[in-house]
Amino acid sequence: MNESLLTNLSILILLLPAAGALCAGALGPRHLKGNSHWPVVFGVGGAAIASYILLFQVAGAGEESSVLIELYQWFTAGGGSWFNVELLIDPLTAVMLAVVTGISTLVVIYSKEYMRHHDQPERGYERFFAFLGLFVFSMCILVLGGNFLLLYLGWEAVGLCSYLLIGFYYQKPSAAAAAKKAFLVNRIGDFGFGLGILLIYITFGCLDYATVFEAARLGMDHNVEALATLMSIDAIQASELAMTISSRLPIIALLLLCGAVGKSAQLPLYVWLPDAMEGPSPVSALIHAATMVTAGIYMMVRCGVIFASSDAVMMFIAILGAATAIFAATIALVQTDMKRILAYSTISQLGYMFLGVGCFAAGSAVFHLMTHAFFKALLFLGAGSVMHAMGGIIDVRRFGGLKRILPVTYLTMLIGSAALAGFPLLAGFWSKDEIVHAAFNQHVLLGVVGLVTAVLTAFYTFRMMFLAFWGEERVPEGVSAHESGKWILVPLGILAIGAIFSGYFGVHVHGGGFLGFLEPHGALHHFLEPVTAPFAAHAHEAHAAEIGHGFFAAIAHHWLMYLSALLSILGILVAYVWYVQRPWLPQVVRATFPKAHFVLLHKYFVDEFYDTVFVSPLRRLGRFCYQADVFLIDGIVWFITVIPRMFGQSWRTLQTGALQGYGLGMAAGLALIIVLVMMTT
Amino acid sequence: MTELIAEIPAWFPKAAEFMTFSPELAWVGTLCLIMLAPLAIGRDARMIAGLAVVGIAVTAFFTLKVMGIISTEGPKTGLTPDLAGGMLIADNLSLFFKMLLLVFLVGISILWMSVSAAQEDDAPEFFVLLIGSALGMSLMVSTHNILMMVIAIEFASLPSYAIVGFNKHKRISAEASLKYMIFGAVSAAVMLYGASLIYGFFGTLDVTQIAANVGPVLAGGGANQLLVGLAMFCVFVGIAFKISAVPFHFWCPDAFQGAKTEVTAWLSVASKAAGLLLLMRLVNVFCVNAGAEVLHGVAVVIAVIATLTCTLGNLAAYKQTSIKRMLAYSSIAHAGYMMAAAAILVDAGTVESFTAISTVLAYVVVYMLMNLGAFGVVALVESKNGDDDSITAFAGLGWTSPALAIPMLFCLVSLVGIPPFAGFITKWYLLAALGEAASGLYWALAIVIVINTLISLWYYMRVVVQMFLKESDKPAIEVPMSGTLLVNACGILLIVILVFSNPLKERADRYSAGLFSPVPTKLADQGSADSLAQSIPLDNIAAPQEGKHGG
Repeated sequence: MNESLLTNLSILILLLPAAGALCAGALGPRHLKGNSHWPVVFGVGGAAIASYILLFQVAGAGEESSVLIELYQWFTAGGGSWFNVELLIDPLTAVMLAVVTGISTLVVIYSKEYMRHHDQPERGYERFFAFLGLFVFSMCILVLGGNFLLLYLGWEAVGLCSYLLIGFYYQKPSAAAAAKKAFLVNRIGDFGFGLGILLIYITFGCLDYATVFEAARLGMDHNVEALATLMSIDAIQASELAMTISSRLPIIALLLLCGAVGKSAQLPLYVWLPDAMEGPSPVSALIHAATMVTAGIYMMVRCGVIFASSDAVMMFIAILGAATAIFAATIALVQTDMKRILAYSTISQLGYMFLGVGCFAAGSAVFHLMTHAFFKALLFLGAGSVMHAMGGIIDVRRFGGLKRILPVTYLTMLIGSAALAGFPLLAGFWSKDEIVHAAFNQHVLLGVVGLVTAVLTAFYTFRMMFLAFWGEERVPEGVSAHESGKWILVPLGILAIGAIFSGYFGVHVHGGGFLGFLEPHGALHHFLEPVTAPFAAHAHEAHAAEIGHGFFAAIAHHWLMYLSALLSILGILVAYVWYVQRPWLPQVVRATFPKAHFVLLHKYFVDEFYDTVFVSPLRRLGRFCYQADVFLIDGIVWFITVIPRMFGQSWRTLQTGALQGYGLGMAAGLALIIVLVMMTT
Repeated sequence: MTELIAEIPAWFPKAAEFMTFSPELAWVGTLCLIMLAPLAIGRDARMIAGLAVVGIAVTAFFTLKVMGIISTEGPKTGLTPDLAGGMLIADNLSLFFKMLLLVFLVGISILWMSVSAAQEDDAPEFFVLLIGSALGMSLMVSTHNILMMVIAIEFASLPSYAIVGFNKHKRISAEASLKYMIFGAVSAAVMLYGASLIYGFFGTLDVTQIAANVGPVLAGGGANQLLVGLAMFCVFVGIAFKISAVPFHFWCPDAFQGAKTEVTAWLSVASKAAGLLLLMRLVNVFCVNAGAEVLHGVAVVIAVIATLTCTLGNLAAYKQTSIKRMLAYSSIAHAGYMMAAAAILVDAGTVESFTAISTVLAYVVVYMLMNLGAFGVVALVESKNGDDDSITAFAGLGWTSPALAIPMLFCLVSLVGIPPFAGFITKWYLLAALGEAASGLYWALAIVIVINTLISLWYYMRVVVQMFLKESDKPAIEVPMSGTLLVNACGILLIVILVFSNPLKERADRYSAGLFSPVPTKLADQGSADSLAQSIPLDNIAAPQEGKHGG
């Protein structure tokens, strides 16, 4: 690969969004005002172009597709070891960059129109774009970083941007509270993540991916000689190190998993994501659906050596993902806020990705991450377009039959919903099917959960669509609904194309059978193989033995594909019957199972549970600490400061001209030190 | 008659020696030029400042040139007949400090132009005093000889006293100047007393010689030990005064509050840095030449004073209402942090003083940026607020003048030493250096520094709270563009240095290595200290005289 080109590209990818953000932030308030989006559009757009060039470079490189670029030495950790600013470019990075910068560009363009009303920029317009640019920069650091330090830096920086953007309307108490909640819940996960990185440093003595992963691999294999060479230590130390590594890797994996659970909103730390919808819709689309929340998946795939080393941890991840997927999907069934439905759907889909990673199908997880980025960003942006037209109202009970008023939004969202529902041949179908397939290989129950979730997904997605766009035409009072302009519709259109076709990166055309002409595990998986190799190496043996030829074999082999296609259509049909053909039916169901509906509507009372069990006691503790602070600490501080205050008092009297006091102080000090010198020497 | 002339020691330095010390010569030339300039071009402040900057640029040019020479030919000494015990030294450390001072002078000149130039009638005198004190400070770092140290400290101090009292119409300024001067005089007296005792005992003022011979005397006990220990400490007092180390810091807050803010900025960095680097040079000499038993005692003294200095500085800072006084105490605290690095001289031969010096160099550079930025903002705000230097004068600045408040925020957070600013990285290097030295004393110092950092957070944040969380109905203040650019440049550099911290570290490592270090001669048999005191001076005085004939 052309290393200098890659270096320049990756520097461009990092610097362009940062420069755009800086420009918007510095010049926005005074000079650019309503034009503040331009620097960010160009910055992020430029980064996107660079990312795609980089993707093609990496794709064209064949075997040698991983390059470590050491930009410079950053700071010394003492004792001659350095932390470097180094970038790792490999297929995973390239795919992530393409997704992140590509979606970001569309979202930034979309925001140009979305963030203004009656062609007047909203309050804080330049702040919004500056934060968006900063977010893209941080996300690129996270993805590009070649060591855990940069990963952590980007990880925390995207968290900060998420906080700032959720609280964008900080005058609204609910937005401020949501921002705080997101930040604090993420703190719990990040605490574990930070500990994990510390443990890595303690164990391996360094933080760069290459050394850590290689040492972890050798340590697991008990390859003492190679380990000794790698870490430049002698054989005895190396065998000790190997023991330490094999005993600590599961702990490290669990600690890192904490971070992923927080950032990717899995059970039990998912509670921040639905509230995060208080932020503007483009933020929900970009940060809380397409990019930032997938950082946890990225991290787990990146650290494949660490995670795949322990079957128990992998099983745990799979169960966690499956549980989250079905749990969030059931909540989404009864929600009425369009963005919250999508938020729970995001949590559920992230659960699928966790399930994929946990079932050693890391390639499929990344594949789903990519397709999901397209259709979920599309759905959120579409919801934003609806919200824009409805004057800020997003509750599906308050409007209906919008498909004539918002034709383009309707059409694009329909495509997005179909993709999310796993409608055959659309993006979501391929990627979800693969994960369910992998889940069946791991354990039947996991697969069943995956299938059930698929039905639920199809149902709640189309429930939302039917309620909002079908039936009698209703708009909230005082709203003159109108279709959005081209800055909003063009990104929707592009994303819709992605929602249809992005799945075909992950399938390959099969020459053989009649029905099996499209097979999973296509170009994307092949491309990602160097990164996902640790998973493949540990994968369940049943995985490897999936061969079958001929017509019937193909049917037997593909039964899952047909089944999930059928289930998806079934879910859509049920939604159609319930909400279009017989709109009274949901009422009947609700009346039949009032308790279940009540529990779902209140999201299993998890927020209430957390509130009573964690938040309130912590508040009380906080109040107690505050009181203790006021009485005890302040008292102690007061007591301690007696000396400086006495100092200060004498100071003031001496200030009036009594220079003798200074002299006395100096002489006394001198004498004291001389005594000390005499005592020590 | 001709015999008589032949008897007069005739000595004249060679051209190469002049080249080595061309920065100093250019510096003196600049001084003379500014002093005489009013006769030719009048007293216009802008013209004079322009002339000063040109002079500084020429000096900087020569400094860079000499740096080039030094890097190929090694450290040099010269302008003295006795080349072994040279009075002046040109090596990495001294040239680095010259460069730092020159850059800082330009910064101070810009600040002065945007704050004081308009109502200043005595621009030539101001620049003569400013640049004169700078020359004195640069000489402080360019010598191994106690006599030269005393002269250099006085050279730096005298213009400083005058420049602190430069605000002629203000009583507080005159008072500050007087206090500063009296303290300076007392410290100088103590230092001279120590120097005379040392000369009386060793017969030389060359620190290399002293360091090489002081071990047995200090270990020997009795009257000699007391005498020499006391004498060394007295010399140290003169340096501690410049650093404003506790308990020789009393002058500092008064002088800093009374002086014009740009002068305060100058003294808070340049004067302290000069004192510290002089201390570092002595530390280096002792590390190379003295035995472990001496080093331990010296390290303990420095460590104790460093602890006192940073703790007291921070504690006193936090009840201040004047931001200048607060920053004055903060500067005392920072001097304490840097002194902690000077304590790293565990055992000769095992630990190089190199790490310690490198740490201080990096710290001084960042400290200069932080203080120039912070004092710069104070000066700009104060100049538009009718000389109100209370912390409450900053209320609401974040909303009315973000272009000043944001660099102020950067500088203050950096002064605390938390990321993402350069103050963090230098403090980290300091802690790493102390940690690497790995002994109880240094761990204790590291803990002291961390606790002090926590204390300091509180009072720095008071200003931030005023700027961003307090409302103010005051209108936005209009300040000159040059001043705004200067403080913003400081703020941005602080981030840049954190992101690219390696160049700073590399340079600090480079300039702290390869210091001038002459080979000491054993003065005499240390067994008989009494005879030593009598016999050495004669021998030693005789030696240079022989050299003079040759010159």
